[in-house]
Amino acid sequence: MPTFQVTSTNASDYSMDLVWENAQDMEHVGTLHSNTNIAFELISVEKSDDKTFLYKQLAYSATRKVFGFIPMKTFGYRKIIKKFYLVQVEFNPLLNIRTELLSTIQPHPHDEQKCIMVDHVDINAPWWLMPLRKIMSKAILRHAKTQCDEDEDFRARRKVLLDKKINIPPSLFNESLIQKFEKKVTDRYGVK
Amino acid sequence: MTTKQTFTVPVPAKNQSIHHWISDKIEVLIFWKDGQLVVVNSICPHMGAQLQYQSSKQLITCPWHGLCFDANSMLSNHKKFKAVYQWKVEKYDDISAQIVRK
Repeated sequence: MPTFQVTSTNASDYSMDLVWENAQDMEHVGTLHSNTNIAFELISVEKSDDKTFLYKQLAYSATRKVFGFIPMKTFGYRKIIKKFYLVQVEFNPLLNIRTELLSTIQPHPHDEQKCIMVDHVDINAPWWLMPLRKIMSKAILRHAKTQCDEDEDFRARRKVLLDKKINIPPSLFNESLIQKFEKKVTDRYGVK
Repeated sequence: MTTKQTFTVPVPAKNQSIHHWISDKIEVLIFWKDGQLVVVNSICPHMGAQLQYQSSKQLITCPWHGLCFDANSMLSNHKKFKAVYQWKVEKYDDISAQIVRK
């Protein structure tokens, strides 16, 4: 399938650690980013040996608002490579599009209190969608910018709590579908 | 003998809600529900977002992950984050209210 690349760079007024905390959390996508998403579900989660990471890898489904208004269900897989680096592969079965994302957090070149998020995205799309690649690139850049702006409120709040020494470590909000189903299997069939 | 913890909080305009830090660690959400002044802790127990009151649904909700508490029972249907703490409003006027731990 033909591929094209998009790189988005967005600055944050907050530290790399605060941005990293927010970047790992995908479950806020359906609520905090309701302008660009409708729903988010964890399919499975693998915990990390490194307790500072929210997970090692996870599978998910998300209902995105494509071009800001068309709801489309996607399925994805995300893995933390190391601190400040994660990779994600997402499939849109309806349009037959696959996106491969490397998301990084880097020091701000001029201000050590701030940082920048650099996302490299490879988009694999069928040939008949390639004439729309400029529109798709713009949509991806707009999507990243919108989410970054919305996340600044999240980070601002976490900074307030941090400054007040109110320690609420990040945690997953929901059980994954696999965890829920395993419990159902145990209850129904006695399989542990 | 236990001392009663009392705090003074501002009173929002009718049908409005406000947030207020009553100490360095405790922030509360103050809102009107069915003509009654209600005060609850507003730091979401999950990750600390500022809880909001949705008067149309009578729900206290988290804007980050969608945690929802019923504004009548103060309970959620989440397995881990089950309840939000409600303060007792002792007295209030148009400007301020006195709240105590229940």
